[in-house]
Amino acid sequence: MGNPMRIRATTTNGVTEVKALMSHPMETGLRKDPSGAPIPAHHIKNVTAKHNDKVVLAAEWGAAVSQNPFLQFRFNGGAPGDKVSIQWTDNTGDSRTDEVVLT
Amino acid sequence: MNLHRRSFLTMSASLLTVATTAALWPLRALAQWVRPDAAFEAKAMDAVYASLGGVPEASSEIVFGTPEIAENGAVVPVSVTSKIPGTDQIAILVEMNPNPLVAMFMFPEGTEPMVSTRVKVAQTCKLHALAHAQRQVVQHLARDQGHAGWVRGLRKQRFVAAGVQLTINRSSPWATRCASAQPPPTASLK
Repeated sequence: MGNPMRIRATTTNGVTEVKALMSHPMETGLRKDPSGAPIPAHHIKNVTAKHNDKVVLAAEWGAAVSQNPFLQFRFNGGAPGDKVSIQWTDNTGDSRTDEVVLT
Repeated sequence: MNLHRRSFLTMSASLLTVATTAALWPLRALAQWVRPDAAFEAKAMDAVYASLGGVPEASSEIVFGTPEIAENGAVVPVSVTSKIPGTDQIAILVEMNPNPLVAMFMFPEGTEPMVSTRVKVAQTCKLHALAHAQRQVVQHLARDQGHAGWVRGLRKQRFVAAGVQLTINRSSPWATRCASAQPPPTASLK
C-alpha cells in the first residue's frame, strides 16, 4: 500500500481531463546501491482508471516509466459529482486505489 | 465457378487474414486483455514488434509532444496523440533503453486516444510510438442468387508507428548504468 496519489479531474464541454501523480519508486532492477548490491525491481505494472464503474483507461507499464509516475488522459462524458478512480498494481502485488469527485 | 462465388472466396480469404492479424495483436477487448510480458522483456525494437504481432507501417498520424532536448533522462515528459479513427491502443517505446517498450495504453470507446506521461530514457536516441486502430467496416458481400445480400461487419485493423529524435543532456544514474550495456549512442544516429 503506497502513498496516496494526487488526482485532479475537471470537466469542460463534456470532456473530462484527468491528471494523476502516483507515488512509487519505479525501481528498474538494474540499479545498484552504494555497496554494489542490486536494488530489486519494484515498479507499477498495471493501471486502471474508472469513471464511476466504467473503465476509461487501462495501461500496462514497464520499469521505464519515471519515478512517481505522471499520467494524463481525457475521456468523453463526466459530470460534476461523478467519481474518477485510479488503481495501480505493482510487480510485488501491492496495489492502491484513489478516487476523486469531479468538479 | 461464377463471379460472385469467386468474390465471396476472395472475401473469405481476406477475412481470414484479418482474423489472423487480430489474433497476434493481444488486445481486442479490455476483458480479454493479457499483459504482453514478452514484449516488455524484449531487448530490441524488432523483438518488441515480433511479440506484438508484426512490423507496423510508418504513419504521420501520430503526434508527439516531447522536448527535442531533455535535461534529465530520468524524467522525460512524453505525450502521444493518435489521429487515426478507432485507435484503441498506444504504446511508447524508447529505442536504446534496455527494454524498449515503456508502456501500453488501452483506450475504450469514449476515451480520447491521447496520453501524457513521463518516461526514463537511457541515452540520446529515438522515441517511438505505436498506435493500433480497429474499426468495424460494413462490407456488402456478394449478392448471390438466393441470398438477399449479406452485410458483414469486417474488422479493419491498422498498426502504425512513428518516431521522434530525443537528445538527453544529463543521464540519470539509472541511465548511466543501463547505457553501459548498450552500444554507443552514435549507433542510433544514422
